[in-house]
Amino acid sequence: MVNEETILMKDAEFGYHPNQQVVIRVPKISIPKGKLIALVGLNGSGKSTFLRTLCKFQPLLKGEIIIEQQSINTIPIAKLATKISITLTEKIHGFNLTCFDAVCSGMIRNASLFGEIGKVNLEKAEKLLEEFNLSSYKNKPLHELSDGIYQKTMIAKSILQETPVMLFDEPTAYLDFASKHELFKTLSALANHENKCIILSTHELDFVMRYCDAILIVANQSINCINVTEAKRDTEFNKLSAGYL
Amino acid sequence: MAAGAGLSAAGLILQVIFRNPLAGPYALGISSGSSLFLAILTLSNLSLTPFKLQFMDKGLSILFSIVGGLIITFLILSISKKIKSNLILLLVGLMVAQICSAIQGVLEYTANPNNLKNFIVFSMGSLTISNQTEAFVLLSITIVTLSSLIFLIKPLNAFLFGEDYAVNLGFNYTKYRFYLILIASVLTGVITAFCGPIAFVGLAIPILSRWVLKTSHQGLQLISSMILGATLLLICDLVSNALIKDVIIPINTLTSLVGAPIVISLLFKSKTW
Repeated sequence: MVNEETILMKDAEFGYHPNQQVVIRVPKISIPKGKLIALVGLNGSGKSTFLRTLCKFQPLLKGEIIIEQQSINTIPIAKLATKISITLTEKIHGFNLTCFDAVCSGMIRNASLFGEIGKVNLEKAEKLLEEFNLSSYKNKPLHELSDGIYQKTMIAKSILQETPVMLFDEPTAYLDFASKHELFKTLSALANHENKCIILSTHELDFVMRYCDAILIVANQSINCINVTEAKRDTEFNKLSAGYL
Repeated sequence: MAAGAGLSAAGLILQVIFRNPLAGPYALGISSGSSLFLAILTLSNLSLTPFKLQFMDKGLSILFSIVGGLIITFLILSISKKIKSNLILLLVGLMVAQICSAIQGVLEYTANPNNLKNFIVFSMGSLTISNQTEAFVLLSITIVTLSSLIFLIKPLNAFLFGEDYAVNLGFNYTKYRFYLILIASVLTGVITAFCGPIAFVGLAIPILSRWVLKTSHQGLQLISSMILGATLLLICDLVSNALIKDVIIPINTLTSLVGAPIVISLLFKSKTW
């Protein structure tokens, strides 16, 4: 397992832009490659703010975030699309969008003027559909997909986007038990074998203990990165699990 | 036909930006904004005619119409950032349209009768354009604006996934949204200046097009919307001329009569648009 760092944060302050309200302060933290990392914390602790800031949906209030030697403060949006992909909690549907459309959207930055993503990318997308057993859903509209199938579709989309960092905002939120296991397994394999840095926010601490390699704990307006093996000795983690683990 | 194609394209763009099938130049009050500004121009006797610049007159009214549309679009857009619910946004659009027509009402009340009649005839919508030069101006502006959309098909496709995904997929949302809104407003403004505020075409046609052509590809949807819009408005025009002998029914009543039931039935048919 390779252990190089992908994301580096220095004196970073996350929060809401208009009133400069700081939600999280990070003096220094480095996040490694090739690992499945859980982002945990209480509701409202700022997990989504953290993920949204990494994607530049909202500005970083202070400090610097460096992804693969490039500061996101200065990186153009088009370039950032090659570094980070995200799957949001809210499901997208409508406008005749199908499962295949969603997967192909990962490569839309390289599409032609008329929106064709090219033969090579189309083949890649088809292969991903087969890999994730999605072929029979290919032309189904997004709103007809079950939550589990939808998440698989979005994972395929993120893979097609070919980014070293992949973010997932509460991907397990609406999934049934079996689908949760499958999702964690897929992401874990992806991180370890494809050397991706995958961060997912979740409340499923038992799944985290079982499948993740590291944990980012958001608490007391700060973030701490610990190894999953140290989790049970960590005060903040124990507070989160409330002694049930 | 240019009007039908243009309005449909404008409607499609707005529906994608607002991610709302009920958006359209008329429903969001953009047409009303254009026509309010035209009312200000027409009814206040602000005319360049005395200076023998009649050609400039039309240009001025087009400009006013576009500016009016733009102001309303950006107003609605800034409100839409604060409101999550599409339904409330639509209601706000209707209210804005009401405000515009209320101000227009005041203007109409105080205007001189001659100007007033001209304006009321205009506001019923008409596809009869007085001379070839005007038809040429309308056609060329519409064609140029519509052609520039070729460069915006990719962002439109990305916009289908909403603002956040569009950014994450590598598109500068604010920049492209500005271009798209500018195009939608120019189309609405120009067409309103020539044909009056035409209802329902911009709203119904893109919905119809998505229903007929089951693709999410916005390039294809744009083309099919334009064809459908042009055809439907042409039919409406023929009917408005032919239905009652020697009487031209205002186009707006017809588009509403045809458009509203289409929208209602389509919304019933597909819970998900």
